[in-house]
Amino acid sequence: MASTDDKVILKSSEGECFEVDMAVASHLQIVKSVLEDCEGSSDKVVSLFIVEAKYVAMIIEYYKNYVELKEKHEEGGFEEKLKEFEKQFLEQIDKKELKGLVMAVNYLNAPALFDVVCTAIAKHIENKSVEYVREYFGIVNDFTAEEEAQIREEHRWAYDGVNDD
Amino acid sequence: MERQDDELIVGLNSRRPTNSGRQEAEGPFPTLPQELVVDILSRLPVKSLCRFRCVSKSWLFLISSTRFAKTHLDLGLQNKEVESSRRRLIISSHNLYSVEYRSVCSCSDDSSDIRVVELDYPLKYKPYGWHSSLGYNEDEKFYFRLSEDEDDNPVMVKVNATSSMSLRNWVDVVGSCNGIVCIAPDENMLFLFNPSTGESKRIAEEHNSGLEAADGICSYGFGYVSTSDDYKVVRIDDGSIVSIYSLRTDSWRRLGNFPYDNSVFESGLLLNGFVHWALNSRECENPKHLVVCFDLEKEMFQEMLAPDIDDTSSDIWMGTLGGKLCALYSRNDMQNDVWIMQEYGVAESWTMIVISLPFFRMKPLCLTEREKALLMVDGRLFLYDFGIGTYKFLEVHGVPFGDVYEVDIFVESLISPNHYFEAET
Repeated sequence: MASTDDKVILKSSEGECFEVDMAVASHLQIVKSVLEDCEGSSDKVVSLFIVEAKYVAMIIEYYKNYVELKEKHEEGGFEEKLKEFEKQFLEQIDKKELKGLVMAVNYLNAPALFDVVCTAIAKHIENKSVEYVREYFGIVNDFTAEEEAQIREEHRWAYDGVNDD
Repeated sequence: MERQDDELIVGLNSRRPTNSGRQEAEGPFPTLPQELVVDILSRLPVKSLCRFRCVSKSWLFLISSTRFAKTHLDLGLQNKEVESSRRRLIISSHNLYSVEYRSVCSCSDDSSDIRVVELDYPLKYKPYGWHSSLGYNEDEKFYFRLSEDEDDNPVMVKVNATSSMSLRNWVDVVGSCNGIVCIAPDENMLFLFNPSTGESKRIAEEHNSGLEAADGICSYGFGYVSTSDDYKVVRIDDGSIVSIYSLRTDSWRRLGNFPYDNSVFESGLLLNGFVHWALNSRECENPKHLVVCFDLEKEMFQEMLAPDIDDTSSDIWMGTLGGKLCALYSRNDMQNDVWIMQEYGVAESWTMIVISLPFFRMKPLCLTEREKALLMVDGRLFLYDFGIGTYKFLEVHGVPFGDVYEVDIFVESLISPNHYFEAET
């Protein structure tokens, strides 16, 4: 099963292999630079040994569409179409998985998707309570009750209009 | 089999490998490394960030830091969409209000969903005008001394002044930059105010710097100098003396005399690190209108030619629209001309556009999508469509709009006017 020149195999932490076009994989800066460093090797298998398969699949899906849309809308309208796709792409991702995804994307150094996921997480927590945010990020409250009450008092208006679902 | 030898391992030179790698291995709910927390939080509105100060000590430290405030601000400057979500109007109308720019411009026909926030600003509760000369009682009635009786006892009149108490002082808005608005809630008393966080700092008085206090009408300009990371206020007093205030040193310096015979009263207009004033030709020896710009970094005046307007009897004043300098003047007509300097600093690039809207005084606020502009026209807000030349009056509920004094644009930010002087001591 020899890969053609414009294909590359990405291997997840579980050992699952994904064959992708170079045009897609080259959006992952880290993969791109590893391949450039090792130019000439016959089989191109890149092991992303800390990235789980589900995130590899999401990242490939995003950039596959990105590349396709860019080709199709060369004349213009790409950004609008991409926005549409991003919306639908994010809808199918569980909110808890966004954190794992942002770490994977950061690790693979893929700027466009990184911005999308960071913005999605920010939008998700924007109107959430402090308690929700602590739980979401796995942060332990290290304030005493008095300290926390005092900090809350300083910006009391910032606690209006919070939803917790 | 051969594939094993050729397999390329990613991770040794990656952007943030060790941290992410270690953290990811900790369990199903990994803790995000600090750099990623910064990336996420810098995309949040100021209100959320003020709330999340109490998430943990490290979040409080991060959100309060000057460095994070700048990262947060820079993201808005780089990203158009973020910038537009952070844009606000500040409305001065016997009180200060802030309105989300998006809610103003996205409203279709019903403007009732424009959300107005009444701001808490310095000297808000200082008694207004003549009210200060009266006694004030807790039952919201004024007691006015009419005369004395034979025994020299005061004869008082009780005035129910509840409604008029809602009137506060006029607040002059000098200008805004990076989320800090320079306001004058009382005559020649300036504050740097961040309407998004509520923080403010009173600008030191001149006598603290060994200078005489200015009296009479002064014109001010406000802006930021990136090379020295400093906020400055330039002042031209009615004796034409130019002084400059630096937030870093929290003091005033005298620069010299305004090199023109004209008096300037209006606040200077900030663009590209320069504060601009339009000088009217009838007071100049030179028959042309002139734009004088003060370089906040070099602290020097420069000038450029104003557009070639035949009518030298009318007043001209400066504005900005979509990041470009504008020169405006009123012909007291059904149509007015707006001049836009297409290329900053190039006098030949002044371009005239006709605006089918009568006004005495107009201030362009910002360009919205699709050839529309938000304008402040004679104390009212309008959305003007340059494409088809129509306009729509925007009513903002909760603001007494017949009484509007001034509107300006600012971006919400975490920049604190109190972090600059303290940083050096």
